[in-house]
Amino acid sequence: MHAAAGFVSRRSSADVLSEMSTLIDIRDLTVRIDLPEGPVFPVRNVSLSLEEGETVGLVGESGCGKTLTCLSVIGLLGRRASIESGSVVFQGVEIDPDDPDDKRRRSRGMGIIFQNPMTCLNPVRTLGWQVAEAYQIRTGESRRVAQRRATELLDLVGIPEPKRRAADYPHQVSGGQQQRAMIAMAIAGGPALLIADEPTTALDVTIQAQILDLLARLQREIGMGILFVTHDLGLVAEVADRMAVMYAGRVVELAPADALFAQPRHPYTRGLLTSLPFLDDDIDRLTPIEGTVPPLHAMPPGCAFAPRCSQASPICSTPPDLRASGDGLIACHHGLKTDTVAA
Amino acid sequence: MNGTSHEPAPILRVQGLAKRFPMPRERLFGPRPMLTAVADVSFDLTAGETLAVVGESGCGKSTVGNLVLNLLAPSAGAIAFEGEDLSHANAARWRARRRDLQLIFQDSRGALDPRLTIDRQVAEGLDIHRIGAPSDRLEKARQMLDSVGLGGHLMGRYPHELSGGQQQRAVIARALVLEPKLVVCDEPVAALDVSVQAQVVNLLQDLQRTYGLTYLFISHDLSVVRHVADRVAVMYLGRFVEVASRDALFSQPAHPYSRALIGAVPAARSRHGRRVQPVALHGEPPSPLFPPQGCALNPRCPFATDQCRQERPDLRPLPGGGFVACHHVENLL
Repeated sequence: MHAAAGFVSRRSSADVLSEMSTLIDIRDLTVRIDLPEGPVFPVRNVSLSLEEGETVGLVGESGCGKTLTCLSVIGLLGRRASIESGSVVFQGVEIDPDDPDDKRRRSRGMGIIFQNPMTCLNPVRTLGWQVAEAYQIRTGESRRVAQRRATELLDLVGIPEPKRRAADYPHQVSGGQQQRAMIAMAIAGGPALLIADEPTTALDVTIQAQILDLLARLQREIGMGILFVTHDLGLVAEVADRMAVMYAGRVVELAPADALFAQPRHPYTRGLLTSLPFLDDDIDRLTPIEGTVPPLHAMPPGCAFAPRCSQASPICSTPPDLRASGDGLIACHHGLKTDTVAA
Repeated sequence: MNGTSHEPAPILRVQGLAKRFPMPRERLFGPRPMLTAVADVSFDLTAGETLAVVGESGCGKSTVGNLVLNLLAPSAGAIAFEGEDLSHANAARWRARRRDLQLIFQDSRGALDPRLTIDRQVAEGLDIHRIGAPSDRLEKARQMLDSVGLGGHLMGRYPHELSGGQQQRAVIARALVLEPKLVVCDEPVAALDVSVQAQVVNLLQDLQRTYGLTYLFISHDLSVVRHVADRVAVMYLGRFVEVASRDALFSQPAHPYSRALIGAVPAARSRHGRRVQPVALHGEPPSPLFPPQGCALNPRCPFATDQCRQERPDLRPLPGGGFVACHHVENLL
């Protein structure tokens, strides 16, 4: 499992990176939620790292644990969920969810944007006030400086007439503008890491393209790493350097984005890709993954994908570890059987 | 868009359809502002075909579906189903016709009755329309559930005991047990995960072949539309801006908005990379309460001229087939 922690991205393969350039290092993370029926583990043994300035895409279907992984990183798991085992190291120091000093460190170093800006913004405060507050908390600057900076931030995220919009309340602007304001709050104070949890899912496609361009520009200007969480495989290919595919709480494949699309190696990743229709491909039928994701309280003991997998065999009743395959890592006993993959 | 004489008679003909919603007054005794959700929409549907209506949220695509089914009363326009004018039909006439026109919703959980087992819900439609002997109805419902892949023990379950994909199958079974001719599919797979989405898309296609169904397929997902549709209508701010065969639209979209939509699909969703040069639109869609003068796209369109700011372009035929509402389409192609 620790192989994943040491997995380095393409850009660093030439020279071995020092510890310093690893921005975030998730080591064997397991998250526990206590339900009336007993504890469940929606994130299990996840290891993932992110270099400075890198974009890692975290992909998976609803309930696969991708959001809980993010919330563990930023320390927002809440009361019902807790880290059962494993750790998250941010800029070389392990995070401690209960330590107020560490909370301040995370709040300065990380920003997060969520899927639905309307429910995340405070409806009774102006956009300018909220961005200024985020800046003030992170930098300790005076209210006056923060207010001036808020207008600059709204300008930076492409909100037209930022001075006037700063006085608007969230309901007075469109969903795309709300998401831009959320991004302005998240990057106030220049975080080293931006967690983007389905940032464009609630937006229309033409607006989605604008937001992706914005994130790419901000990354160039600020140099932050981005953990980009999405269910949309096509989208993540546009933005990510590396991709991690999650299924039922585990990372099942981790690979450079282009390699993963050119040659998906885990049966689940392959199934996801054949489930998607292409814009320029005349196929008569899609090839779905049969069955459904097992519920959290009834996870199979071994590989969670085995009940839906055409390659499943008796060995799949033991959990597979992540191991090297091609340019990446997969968690599968069978690996890529080249003869079973259609060209 | 009106069928020419050599084509078979359309199963559904929609002409000049419009829907305006009155909005709250801004001042007491002030005028009531009107929101035009759908304006001047005309199309024919041939039996057995799939017409997709695509567009972004708020463009009026779901309203078109609801108008076709008379779930909303049109403000103007005519709807003829199998030659029968339904725009002036009374409630009794609609009730008799409704079994031919069915709807599949996006939110399957909300569409199902939480207190009825799914086989009872599917049989309910048969009860309402008095189809078959009462004693046979549950059996017929179960056959339908079996053919959508909800066989065996799943039939007697309540909606909350089913997964999202299974709930959507139940909704499909409930619509199809009445043997409809036209089914309005309003974002039928948008709420589903991709692996399950593919199962439901395949099911809808199989059922179309088996029962000869005609689909009005409302969706914002262009790659799914590319996979299922025969023809596609692109909607912007309540109007059709382009109607074309699937292949023509996806290989050579004519309207700047169609090009923006198709160009915005991530390149990874195409096997050979992006072929349509994307058009970058400025800003965001305007409020339908205050539509711009002239072409609705003009404030966002990089090709807009003075003509676009003054005159609204009509939907007109293109030499290569298809219809487009753009003043400058000849120069853009």
